[in-house]
Order: sequence, then structure tokens, then C-alpha cells
Amino acid sequence: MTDKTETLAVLLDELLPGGEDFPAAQAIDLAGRLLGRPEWAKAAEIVLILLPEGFAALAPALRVGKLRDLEATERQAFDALIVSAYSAYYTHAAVRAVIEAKTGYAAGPPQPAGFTLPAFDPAVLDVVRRRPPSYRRP
Amino acid sequence: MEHDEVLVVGSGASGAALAWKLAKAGFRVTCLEQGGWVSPKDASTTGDDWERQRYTDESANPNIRRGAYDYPLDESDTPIKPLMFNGVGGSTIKWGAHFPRFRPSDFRVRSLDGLADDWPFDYDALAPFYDENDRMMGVSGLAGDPGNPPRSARPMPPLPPGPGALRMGQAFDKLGWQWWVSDVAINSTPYGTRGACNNCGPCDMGCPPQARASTDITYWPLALAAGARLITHARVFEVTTDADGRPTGVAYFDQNRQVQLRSADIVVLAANGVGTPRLMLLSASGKHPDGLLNRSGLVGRRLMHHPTGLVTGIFDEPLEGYKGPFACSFLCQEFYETRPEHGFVRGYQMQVVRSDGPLGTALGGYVPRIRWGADHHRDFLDCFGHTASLTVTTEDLPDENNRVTLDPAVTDGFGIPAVKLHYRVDENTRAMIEHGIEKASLAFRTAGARRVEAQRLVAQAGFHLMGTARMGDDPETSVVDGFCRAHDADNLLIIDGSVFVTGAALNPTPTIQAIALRAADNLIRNRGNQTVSTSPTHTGWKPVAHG
Ligand SMILES: Cc1cc2nc3c(=O)[nH]c(=O)nc-3n(C[C@H](O)[C@H](O)[C@H](O)COP(=O)(O)OP(=O)(O)OC[C@H]3O[C@@H](n4cnc5c(N)ncnc54)[C@H](O)[C@@H]3O)c2cc1C
Repeated sequence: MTDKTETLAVLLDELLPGGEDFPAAQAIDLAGRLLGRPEWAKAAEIVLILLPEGFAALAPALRVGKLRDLEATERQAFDALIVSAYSAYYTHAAVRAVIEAKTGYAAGPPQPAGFTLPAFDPAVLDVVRRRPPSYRRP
Repeated sequence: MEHDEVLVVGSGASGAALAWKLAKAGFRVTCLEQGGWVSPKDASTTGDDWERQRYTDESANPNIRRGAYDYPLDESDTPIKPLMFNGVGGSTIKWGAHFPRFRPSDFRVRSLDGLADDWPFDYDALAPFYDENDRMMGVSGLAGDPGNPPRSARPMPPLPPGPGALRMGQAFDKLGWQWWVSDVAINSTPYGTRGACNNCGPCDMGCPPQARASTDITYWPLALAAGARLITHARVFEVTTDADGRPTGVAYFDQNRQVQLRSADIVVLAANGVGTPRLMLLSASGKHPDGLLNRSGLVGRRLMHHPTGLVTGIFDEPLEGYKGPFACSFLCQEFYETRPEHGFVRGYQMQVVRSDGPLGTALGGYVPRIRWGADHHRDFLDCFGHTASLTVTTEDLPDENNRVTLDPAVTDGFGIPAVKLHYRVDENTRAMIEHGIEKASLAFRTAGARRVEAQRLVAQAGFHLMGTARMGDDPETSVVDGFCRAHDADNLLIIDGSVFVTGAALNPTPTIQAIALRAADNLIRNRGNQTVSTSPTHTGWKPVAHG
């Protein structure tokens, strides 16, 4: 792992630390995934430049503090990183599998299977159906 | 030079409807469309990367999507970002297919409420064309809504509402509010050659079963079968005129980037509320120094959207809002009409919308972005699949300062000037949104929501583009007449949302298409009497050289 990838991995673990059965960013090599797509990599590189020297070696609480500072002072760059990190994380097969296991939302794409829902029941309109006309006739 | 009886610019909601009706009546019709065909069967919702694509290269915002056939829109002077699609089917390729009709009062704003203007026709004049369009697009819904004039039986029964909408319906009943199941242009059962909805969710990404109507799969196959021609990858940059200033045809770049001229008896603009004023302003010439047929000075002015607030309830129970068409279930019009006790005139609709997939939830759309850090995963599970939302879709009153202009600095890929939008939300609208947020929050609390989140103005909500070449009876204060014919040249028609006099507070496309069908009907009835140009064509704007 290069210094850059290592620092990014540490950073991403602060953003997406894992828990509730979700993997931490490092556990699915989110840094590698980010650096593999040019627009995500660009967002990561910009924030890496803005990070203070020795960020990866700081104690976790200090790292979070530095990231909150960056979020406040470099809003645009930080926002782009969050969008990239979430995009890479939530489209990862391992994360989709956890979502499926916890919520029932299918890990695969929504087509062609789609979803089933109970059909419309006209009885839901029984109350409102009895209301008088409420539109204006000029 | 090729000659047509009718030349249509734009193959979207309105262009397709008119082309079909005229072709069926035996007119020689050609449509020029700057984009290409999109295959619904190849929608990216069949692939694992679909959610990332939804927010990037398949965004409804052309400035984010940056497709080959999009043109740049400078949105720096508007808080509401314009959304559209440029290809066969136009913006119906991206739309949610919520399909309400305007109410009778929407056509009589001046008479009833003393502001803005009345339309040159009323609801009843449009009703038969709403019906015709319902059959062509395919509508699921239920007649009998006491909030709207009686209408014919809907071609298909309503879509499944899902648990979130059912809760909201019960809450509206408890509050004594008017609501009904939405009319939607999505098949709940197979309809013609198209299949039924399988509740996949992201309609904006295309519909492999072809359940969600878009004009590439509704009107166009029938229009082509009836003899209409559709030329894709044709970017029109000028409506040409003769020495008297009467339209004679158009000039466009073809797919090989060559300039072509095409003449026609009648030119119809259906390029939407931004594309049409762009083309008219580009077509300035000696006879039309301020843009084509712009005696009133209103071309590009009175741009209306539907400024939208959004309120989301987060519930303890799973509502599975990712199941079912995102935009369509129930519609509440309790606060639609002007009422003396309100601190504003006109009103708003509240549309029950469902929810996002995992990435959309994390990035924040209906709910604020899920915070990064130690609580991220817990917060995500708290929200994902546990929300329902209400839009506060307001009526935007026309203001001449809200407008579309040509961009002096930016051009598209063909060297044609791009567009800039200038737009402000007015105080009446802000008051309406505040009122709507309060009422929607009350509805969510009544429905048992644990938490309620509100957004005061959704930025990516410029999906309804209206008013930029309004219709009316007076040539001094309107661009076209009630049959969409330019006052100063009746062989130039505008049939898209540009012609709206006021915007109502409802999704506009059924009304846009009904107006287009009515305009076509008028052309058919007057076919023998149409005045056409017999003089040579003059071109005005010279295309900038490009590499
Ligand atoms: C995300 C989204 C959701 C929506 N949801 C709803 C909804 O639920 N209900 C509803 O009623 N409406 C909805 N709408 C709005 C609806 O799509 C539009 O009202 C409707 O498509 C407008 O029809 P139109 O014919 O005016 O223009 P469009 O359908 O936009 O078609 C215009 C066509 O003209 C072409 N064109 C433009 N300029 C040129 C040129 N110079 N040369 C050649 N071709 C040109 C374009 O490429 C385009 O294909 C939504 C829109 C979006 C983007």
C-alpha cells in the first residue's frame, strides 16, 4: 500500500467505520475502489492534499476533529469526497448484501425482478368519496 | 431542399402528440429531434451500477449528465435548476409520469383571483383532448374524485399505493382533508403492446416493461406507422423566414454536423419551455430584430416552474418506499384553491412520494444526508425504507423578470449560443411553501411519524418549464393565440409548455399534450385555409464555425 492509499484508507474508516453488521471501509478496500474510478479518485486526491501532515498517525479522536475542521473550511472539496465515498460504499456488493440481510431490500438491481405490492383497494377512499365537490367552477 | 406540410421541432410530450394526430389525418409531417432513440429495454436499472448512474451520467439535469445531445444551461442566476431530456420522447424519458389535469379555476386566475391572466379557453374546451391523450398515453387511476370535475373511467385501475401512502391517506381522512389516488401514466395492467409496472421504483431511469409511458413508446410508433417522419440528431438553430418575415422552414445541423435547410408550409415548435424561446431568440432577423415573432417582447419571459418544498416523515415501521413508482400514489388538494384565511393567493398540491434506494438515502434527497462517522450505519438503518414524503408543489405566478435569455458567453457543441436562466422565487410562493410545510408536518405527525424533516426549496426541481411564449387573445401581450398560432404568422405554432398563461400547481404534461392535440385538431379542421409563404427563404443567424 502506498502512503497515499494508506492515508485514504484511514480517512475513509473515520467516515464509514462499520457497525450494525456493516463492514468498515478498510474491510472492503474502499480506498482502492475510490482510486480506481477517475472522478472518485479526483475527489479523494484533493482532500488528501488538504489533510494536515501526519493525519494517519493521529489518535482517532484527533483525526475526527481534523476532518470536522476540513468539512467546515473546505466545504466543496469535502462534499465531493463524501459523495464519492458514499457512492463507492453503497454500490459495493458486500454492503448491498448487508442491506438485503437487514432490511429485505434485494442486493441486485431493481430490474428485471421489480417488487410486489398489494393491489389498490378502493375501500381506502370510502371517507373522502363522501366529501362534497371542492373545486371552483368559474 | 426537402419540403414538408408540417415541420415539428422536438419529439417530446407535445411534438409526438401533434405529429401523431396530423399524420393520422393524412398530413405530411416531419419532426426534427436533436437527440437519438433511447432503448427502454436496456435501462441501467438492470445493472449493478444503476444507483451511481442515477446521480451522474443519467441525471435529469443536463449540466450534470452532459450527454452528447444536451446543450449547456447557465443556472447561476436561478435557485431552481432546470431538468430535461434531449432525445426521442423528450423529457418524458426522465419523468415521474404523475398525470393530473389542471382544475377549471386554473384557466381563470384573473377572473377568480384578480391577478395574472385568464387563458383564452377554459377547462371544458380542453376536456376532450385530455381524454384522447389519456387513451394514447395509458392512464391508471380512478374516476370519482370530488376534488375535480367528473371524468371518464380511467383506462386502468390505480397502481398499488404502498404502506407509506396508505398511512398518509388515513391521516388526511383524520384531518378531514380532500385527497384522491393519483392519475398516473403508468400501466397497472398490460396496455396495448406495453407491459404492467413491476414496482421497481426509479421510473426516471427508464422502464424495461414499458409500463411507464414516454412518447417514444406511446405516440411515436403510431405516428411513424401513420407516415410521420422523424429525423434524429438534427439540431435546429433557426426558423427561416421570407422577406415578409413569415416562417418558411428551419435550418439545422444534421448528424454529420452539416447545415441543412428544410422548408415547410407550417413550422411547429415543441422544444420545451427553454428550447423554444432559445430557438425564437436565435431566429432574430431584419424583420424580427428581437427574436422571431416577438412583437410583444414576451419571448423568453414569464418563465414559471413549480417551486417545491419537501417534507419527509421518518417512521418506526418499515414502509418499503423503495417499492413502486417513486412519484405516484396519492394526491392531496386540500390547500389548492385561494382561501381568504390564507396569507397568500392560489395554492399548492401535496403529492405523496415514496423513497430512494440505499445510495440515494445516504446521499440525502428526501431526508438530509446521513452524517459520516460513528453513528452513520445506525442512522442509515433508521431512515432507509422508513420514510414517506409529501411535496409542497406551489403555483408560481408569472413575472416578466423570470426569463430565459441567450447566453452571451457560452455555446453548445455546434457553436450555437447556449441559454441562461434568470429566476427568483416570490414572496407569495414562499408563504405558500411555509404553509405547506406546516400542514404536511401536521399530516406526518397525525400519521405517526417519529421525526419530520423539511426542505424549504428543492433545487433540483426545475422539471416543469412553462410560460416563455404565452398564449392570449391580444397580440400586444401574448405570443400565440388560443390555438397556438403566432399572432403575426399563423403558420408558426408553439405547442409546448411555453404557451402556458399561468402554471397551476399541478404537473403540466397532460395539459401540454391536450393543448398540442387541440392545436392539431384546429389545423386539421382548417387544412384548406392555411396561408403559407410563397417567397424565397432568408436565413438570419450564421452558425459559428466549429471543428
Ligand atoms: C425528472 C423529471 C420528472 C418529471 N415528472 C413529471 C411528472 O411526473 N408529471 C408531469 O406532468 N411532468 C413531469 N415532468 C415534466 C415533463 O417531462 C415535461 O412537462 C414534458 O416532457 C414537456 O413536454 P415538451 O413537449 O414541452 O418538451 P420535452 O418533452 O422536453 O421535449 C422537447 C424536445 O425538443 C428537443 N429539442 C429542443 N431544442 C431542439 C432543437 N434546437 N433542435 C431539435 N430538437 C430540439 C429536445 O431534445 C426534446 O426532445 C418531469 C420532467 C423531468 C425532467
